[in-house]
Amino acid sequence: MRSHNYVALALLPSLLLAGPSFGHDRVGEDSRAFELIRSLFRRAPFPLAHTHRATFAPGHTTLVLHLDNNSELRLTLADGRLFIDDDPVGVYLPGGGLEAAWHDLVAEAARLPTPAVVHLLQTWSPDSVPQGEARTAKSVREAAESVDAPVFTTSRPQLLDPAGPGGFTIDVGDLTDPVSLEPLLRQAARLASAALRVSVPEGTAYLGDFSVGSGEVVEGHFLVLKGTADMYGSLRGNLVTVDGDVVMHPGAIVTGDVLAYNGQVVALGGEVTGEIRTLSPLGSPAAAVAPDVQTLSPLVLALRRAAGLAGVFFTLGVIGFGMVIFARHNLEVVSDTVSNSFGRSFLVGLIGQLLVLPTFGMLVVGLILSVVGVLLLPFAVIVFGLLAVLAVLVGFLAVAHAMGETYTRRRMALGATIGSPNSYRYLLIGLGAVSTIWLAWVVFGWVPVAGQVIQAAAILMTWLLGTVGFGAALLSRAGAREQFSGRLLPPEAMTDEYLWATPQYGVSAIKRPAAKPPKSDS
Amino acid sequence: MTRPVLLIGIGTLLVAGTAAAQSMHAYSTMRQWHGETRLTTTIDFAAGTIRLAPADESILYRLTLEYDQERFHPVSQYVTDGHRVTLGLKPVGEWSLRVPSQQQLGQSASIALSPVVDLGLDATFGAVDAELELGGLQLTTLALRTGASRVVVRFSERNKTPCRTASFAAGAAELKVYGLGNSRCREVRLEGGVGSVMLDFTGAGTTDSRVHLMMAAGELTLRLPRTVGVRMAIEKSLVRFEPKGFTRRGNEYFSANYGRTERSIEVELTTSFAGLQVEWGD
Repeated sequence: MRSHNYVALALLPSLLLAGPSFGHDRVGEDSRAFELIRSLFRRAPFPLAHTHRATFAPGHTTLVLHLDNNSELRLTLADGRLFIDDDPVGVYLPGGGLEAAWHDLVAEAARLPTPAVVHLLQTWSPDSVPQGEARTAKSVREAAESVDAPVFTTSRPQLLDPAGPGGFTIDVGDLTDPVSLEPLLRQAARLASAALRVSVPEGTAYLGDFSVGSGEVVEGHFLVLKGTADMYGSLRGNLVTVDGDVVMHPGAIVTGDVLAYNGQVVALGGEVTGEIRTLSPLGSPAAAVAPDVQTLSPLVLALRRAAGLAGVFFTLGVIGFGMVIFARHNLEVVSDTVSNSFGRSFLVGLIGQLLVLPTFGMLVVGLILSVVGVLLLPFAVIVFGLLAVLAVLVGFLAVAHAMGETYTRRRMALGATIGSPNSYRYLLIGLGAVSTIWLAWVVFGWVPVAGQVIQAAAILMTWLLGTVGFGAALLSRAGAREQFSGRLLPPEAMTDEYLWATPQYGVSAIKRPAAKPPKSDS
Repeated sequence: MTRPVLLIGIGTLLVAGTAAAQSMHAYSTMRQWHGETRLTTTIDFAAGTIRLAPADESILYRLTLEYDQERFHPVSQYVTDGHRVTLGLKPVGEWSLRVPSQQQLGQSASIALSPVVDLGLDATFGAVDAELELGGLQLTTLALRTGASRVVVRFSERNKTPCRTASFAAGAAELKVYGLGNSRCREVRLEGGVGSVMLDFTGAGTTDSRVHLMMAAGELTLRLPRTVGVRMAIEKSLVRFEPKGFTRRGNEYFSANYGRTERSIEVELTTSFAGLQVEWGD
């Protein structure tokens, strides 16, 4: 029961963050949220088979799936053995049931589109074959299951009517920049159906397979949606396919450019006097184009940013804990410097930022001018960079430490019982406080104008804290210069115990033992 | 208390992790060869891996790209008048100082150029891992500029036509050029920055070469063929240079066979802080 609560808690952020985006289209957003959760458990995508080749030859029958990761899956039946990518993985009886079924499958594959071939392979189970051959068939199925296929839905070939004035228009007359054309093509693919009305200036739009026959000459540009364009004759214009291939057969001529969006250009012959281009998103099924950043929903955007924030918080926390374990003293000294000399730290940090590059330049020039220095130059550059990063990092963590310490001490001074006031707690509280600034941006960053204002405020605050930390790290020499943090007070007054546990005012303060007066020389 | 907080964190990370957008795209462009006799090619590639090699004779040029569409834009522009083509990948938006992400470095380009046309090649690389096979082409001029790149250029086969100039400008780069003897370039120029440069002049060419080298503070290695006469005129400061197999006369160094060979290489080198090495090859 408790574990269910934890799971619910684990999913709570997504539901909370979904809040701002739930509104007018509740059902759509709900399904998107569930899709997101479902994607958690979805397997990693397999390579896509975009084309295939069936080969009958004396002694062997081969089916090859060409995959989008530039590899291929090769299935061959030869000499009583099944080879997958040239590795023998199963046996069969030559002339038996499995071989006959395989021949049928390969023959069928020669006339089917690749997605259908993948499906055939994944479900291939020949009837009435011995157990050994059944295992061989299973090996084929398992190999095919490691492959995905584009989910093209080839439509019944038909001409699409042009849209009215101001309607959906795709100009394929200039294909020199297909990337700028992509949003329109993607939109067309999404809307593709017999009801779609789309205008193609000086051209025609088709849905489904399209072909120009041998000896046929057609004029104008052609946009083919969800279908293959088989070219045998001549086309005087540009040709664009969306979710489909262009197949140039021997004798075919296209006097313009060719573009296959989410498809291939298969050159079996023919001539294209213009440019031949292909464009497709990677890593997603062909028909389901992943949204880009600009079209992400507020929920997904918030989740992405929350993950980034959590990652940064976690990383800084780990580094901070490491510092507490291995360099607690230095961290505390820098932290005390922040607490006791905030303004000076900021000024020093500001000046330090301005001087970093000139200092680096002087260092490089100085080293170059001496023969020995040239040898030291690579090391000096690396060390300088590391020191700068270290100063910023230590400083920032020290600021977080100081914030946490201040907060904890104040609570204790008000009488709150704190289980274990230590540096780990200070760091977590401080980092949490800094993260809170960014959390506002995570949640409301999608809001126009306000989101940018919040982001700017978060950047400013983080820069401010980083500058203070950098300055404190410089002032205290990364915690090595202990006395600095106590420059305004006597050394004994600089201890945490003195400052926080010793009453400064009231009756208790009056009863406090007086500090010894400094010895007079006279 | 700790466990729920931990689970909330893990849940958030997992949910948002899967929501990461995929913006990698595949793009290809090619043009068939229709009897062109020359092609001026400009390649501009900002970040990633690039390979270049000769194409089939039926192809004028071909570019295959995998790129991050959020930050880069593929370029392929062909101007019929003058037969000029520009290929590559340029950053989206205004210029800015950016450290390439892992994903950008995962970008890749493969370019193939016709071996049957006179080819002028002008390539500019940013943060790139490049391997260029230029052997077997009809290269007439070559200009290569690199930023923080690792670039290997090979002339594995003899260039089919004499080449006027091969010029290299290497910033903080590692540049290796093999088989310059096969390039048949009459003039080789190098402006080196703070990287490491290796120029290998071996190869089957018989063309005399004039080599102008300017190297700032990097490491320069010259691999010279034993069968070729070499003269090196060096202006250097703060550089110690005592190459084997050379006779020194003032600021000039002569190989033992200089003036007695069919092919000769004249090197003019200016450097201040660069390390300089000479190796002999066959």
